[in-house]
Amino acid sequence: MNKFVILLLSILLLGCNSKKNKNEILNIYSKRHYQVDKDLFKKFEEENNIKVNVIKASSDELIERIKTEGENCPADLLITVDAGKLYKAANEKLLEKINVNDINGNVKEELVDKNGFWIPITYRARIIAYNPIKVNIQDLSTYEDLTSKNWENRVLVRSSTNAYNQALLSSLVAHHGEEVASQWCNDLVSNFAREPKGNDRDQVRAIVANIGDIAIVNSYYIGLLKSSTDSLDRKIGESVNVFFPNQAKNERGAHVNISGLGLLKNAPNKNNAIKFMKFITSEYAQEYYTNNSYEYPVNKNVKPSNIIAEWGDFKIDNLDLNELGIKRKKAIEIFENSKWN
Amino acid sequence: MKFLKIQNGISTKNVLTIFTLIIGIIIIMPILFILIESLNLKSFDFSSSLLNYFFSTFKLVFYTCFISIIFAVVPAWIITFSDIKHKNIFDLLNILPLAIPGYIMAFTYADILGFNGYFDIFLQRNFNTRLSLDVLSLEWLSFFLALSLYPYIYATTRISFKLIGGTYIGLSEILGLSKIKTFFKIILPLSISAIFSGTMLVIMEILNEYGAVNYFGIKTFSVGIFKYWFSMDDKSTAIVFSLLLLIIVLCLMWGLNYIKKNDEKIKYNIKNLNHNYKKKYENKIISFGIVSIPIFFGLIIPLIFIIKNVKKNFNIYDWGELFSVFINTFYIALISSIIITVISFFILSVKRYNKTNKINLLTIFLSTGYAIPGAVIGLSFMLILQYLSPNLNFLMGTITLLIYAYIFRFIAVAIFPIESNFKQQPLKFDELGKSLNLTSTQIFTKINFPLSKFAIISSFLLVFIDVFKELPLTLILRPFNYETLATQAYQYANEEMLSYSSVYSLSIIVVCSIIIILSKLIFKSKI
Amino acid sequence: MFLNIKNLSKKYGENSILSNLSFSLNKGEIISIIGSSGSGKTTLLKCISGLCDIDTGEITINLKAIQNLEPNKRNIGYVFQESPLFPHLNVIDNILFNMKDIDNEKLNFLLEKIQIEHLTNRYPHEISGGENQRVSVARSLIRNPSLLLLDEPFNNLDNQIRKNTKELVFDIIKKTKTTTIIVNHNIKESLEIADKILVLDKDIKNNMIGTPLEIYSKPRNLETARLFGEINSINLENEKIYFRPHNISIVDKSNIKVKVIESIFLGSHYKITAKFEKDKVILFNNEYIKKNTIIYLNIEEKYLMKFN
Repeated sequence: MNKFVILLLSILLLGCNSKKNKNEILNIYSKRHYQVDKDLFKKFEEENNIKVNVIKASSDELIERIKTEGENCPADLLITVDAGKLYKAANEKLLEKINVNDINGNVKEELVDKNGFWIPITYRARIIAYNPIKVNIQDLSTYEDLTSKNWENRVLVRSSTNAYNQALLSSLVAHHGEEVASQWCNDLVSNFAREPKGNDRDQVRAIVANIGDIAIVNSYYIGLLKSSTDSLDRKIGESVNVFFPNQAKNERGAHVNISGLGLLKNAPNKNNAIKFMKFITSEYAQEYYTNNSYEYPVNKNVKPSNIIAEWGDFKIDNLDLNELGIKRKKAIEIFENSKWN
Repeated sequence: MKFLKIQNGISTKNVLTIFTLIIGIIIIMPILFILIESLNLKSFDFSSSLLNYFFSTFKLVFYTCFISIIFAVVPAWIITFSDIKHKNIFDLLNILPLAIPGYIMAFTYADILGFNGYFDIFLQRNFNTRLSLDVLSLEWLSFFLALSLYPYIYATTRISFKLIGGTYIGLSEILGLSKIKTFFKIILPLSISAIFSGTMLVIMEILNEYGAVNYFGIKTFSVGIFKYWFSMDDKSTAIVFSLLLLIIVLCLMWGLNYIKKNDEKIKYNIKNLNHNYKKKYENKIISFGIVSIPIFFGLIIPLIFIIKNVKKNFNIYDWGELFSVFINTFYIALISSIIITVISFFILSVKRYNKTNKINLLTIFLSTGYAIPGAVIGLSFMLILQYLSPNLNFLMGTITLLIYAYIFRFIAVAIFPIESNFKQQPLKFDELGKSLNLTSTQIFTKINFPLSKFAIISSFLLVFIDVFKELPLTLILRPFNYETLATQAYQYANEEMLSYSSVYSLSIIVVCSIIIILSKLIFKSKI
Repeated sequence: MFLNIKNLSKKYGENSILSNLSFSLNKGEIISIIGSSGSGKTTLLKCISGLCDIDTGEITINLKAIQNLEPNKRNIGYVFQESPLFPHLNVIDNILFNMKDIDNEKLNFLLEKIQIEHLTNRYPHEISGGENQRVSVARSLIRNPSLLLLDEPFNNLDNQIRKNTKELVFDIIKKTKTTTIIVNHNIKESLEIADKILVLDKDIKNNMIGTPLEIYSKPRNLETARLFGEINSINLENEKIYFRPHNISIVDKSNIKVKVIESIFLGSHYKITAKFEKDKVILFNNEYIKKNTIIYLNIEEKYLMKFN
């Protein structure tokens, strides 16, 4: 009995002890922790002598956790791959406004949070990959057009449970309203080449397998395929072309989403967080990103890497990215009630 | 025990009982919380999509159980009643798939059979065709989950067949029943409860499964809870789902209790008389083949692929990271198992002396923890902390909280062997000790504890394995920079980095296998 | 002879359990097999019933050799010591298990005589141990077996139930004139019912078969003799002699001079323990004999036992 009590007490103490740390640290709650991120964190650590602690989970879980931890939340920064989640965090009053001066100055204006609660790190477009042999580029125009009879049995896209599609639908709800967006969703399902299976790269592979002709995917995946160590994947990357929808003069531009970060209200290491924000938006970090993960840099002075530069410039949908969060619940509802699996 | 001696007329018994009740209530607070929250629901409309969740869950459970039962019962019968040599080895091999968690089994097979997977590429390269297999479907998932879960049914069924067969084969032969008729008319009816209790464990595991189901895009309750709670901020629906799961589980447990009670009355007479069939004419090759099928698909194929993956990616692994994650996992599994075993032994000991309804109810509630998905437990803990904030917030993100959640989730696993063991220790033994002038402590150390040694050890090992491979709960509640082998394997697989994921999967499989083999050796005589 | 066992041998690995065992029974006779545990009693039953194979020998029932037949083709009834009934079937289903043509007259006769008519719908766990055994006997007898095997059928029963069950079972066996082999520990019961007794010993030289009287009065070895009661052994004139307590008479003078040590009252008589030189002698007497009294004993020649 006594042993048990001692054991329990020592564990409690142990558990609590994990907080006390004399050295400089930075605590990040992040959805993304790819090798590129790890490399950059390491670089930041070396340059600034600050230890970076990361906890990785889905954005929703992280936000819930921050809410639960309240004042005792040890995190300084929240990094997500979806503007909608940053909006959610801001909406839940978890973020603190970021003093824009030396950070946002370098960043593309159209991508910055109008309310000042978050900053973008990278961005990407949800493009249409197509088989150049089977598809005439003149036939492609807008997301909305994908529902026309022309595309029957030719469209490939992943499941509606994925955040990328949810963000896209959110932008459509924001632009056209719930009813039209809902109609678009159901009409698109009739044009599916097959039931949604697999991830974005699987859709591209399916084009090459002649299961479908066009696929709705994130731009960086094409870059990843083209630079893959797997020869088969490289071939697949080379076999498709990239099309940015909604580029015509009267159109609003291609749907983009960002990876971004927010500064948490109760951040214990605010100065370190600010240092990090400067670092991650610096030219060094931005170049590292675009050359390794094939995302677009948010820093105005950095050019996209060769592979994606080939696709040229494109018009970005000027929608306030917070809409991707505001309309998210509606988008998910529409998906739930549709036949898009 | 000293400080609990008789105080002012309050007997030791009462103090212990109260103490137990307090521990118990603390442990089952999460369920209470779900119940309380559900009472706060204002309105709730059942849209058709919710019925979909119900049907998908039901379908998945049904298919998986069906396949698992076949995988378990057929080999169990062949191994028990035929002339196969090395039955021990087959028994062991048929339990080892438990070391491969459901999500790892699902990811691995999706990789093997899926689009551009191993098989697909093989066919492309050599036969210029593709394997157009829609493997990310509910039907296939039930097959993969069955491969990982059938050992639960195999273990209980095998013991039952052995015992019942040994008792009644002689009688059946004399009375003129053929082997097959004997199986269907005698052995199977008497083994139904064993099969059912194994199936119950399988159902609980399916309801808990999150990683695989999410990956395959199947809409089960556990996935729904995550989705509605997190993505749609719809706590009410999530709570309704949790409640439904609770009700289902309670029904299952009541059913099991009923069958067990019925069973005890009927089977009080069974003594293994070691009868067995004289001449064995069956085709040994066919028997061997049939028995090997679940082992082949549930153990050998996944292992081969995972090991292949590890070999291929040997030089890109971060061994330092692997090592520290391994230590984390081992440490927390060890601590949790010790605590859980001690607590359940304590509670059950008190229950033994004091069979009040309160304690009985408590034990039943404690056992439901196993059936509630780890995700729900994690969330309800967060709910509780939010509710009780800001005082208890410091607990969030500590190992203490994680262990507390493990206690809730896995105490049922420890309760089961110890409770069965206690049933075989009537209070007469304790009275015998008293008549020999032993003190309470001495009765405990000299009578109770030696008799319960094996049960305690098996509780410990079972909990250890379960904590070691736990996923959804750990994902939600783990502290900073604290990864377990399971969370790493899952995260890498989810990001389509199965090659990285494999080495973590392999670590889990190796450790769990060692423990299973170890326990088989320890309990050689008992099973 | 109705039942003929000839040169039956059975080995388990190196151990020879049964070796060249032969005996026979007339129709309707009852033979009781007694012996210490491990002497092969249950094995013998299993061999006869067909539940295990024999190495050599012949088993003939009514002139028909059955040693190569399947168990269920031998028409032999077998009542096990433990777990005699299927737990998931009720009494009547157990009795009529796997039977096609049912002789209702015989069924009712058995139910009545064994006194289980009121139990037909109950389950084995709802009836007593003795009732379980009786049902098992009914189940065997309804099939008109040519031979009935009983393996210590009353072992798990306490006294009163044992007596009751035993009476009913022996009664029905006699009534139906069933040839029976019963393995029994209780010697008194064996003597009550058996026409023949087979003594099995680990050392097969000591196997014996004969009528109860023969076995009782002329057992082949000391262990067998002891099965039936106390044996006194004393050294007289350099010879060891053996005799039973109640074959002793007290005389005025003889060459067996003993000193009484104690007299214990056993209800119907006194058990006297006396000392003869270095050995102890036990005898029975109607009256009390005081300690240290000297008495003289005599045993008639015919009551002296000789062993191999």
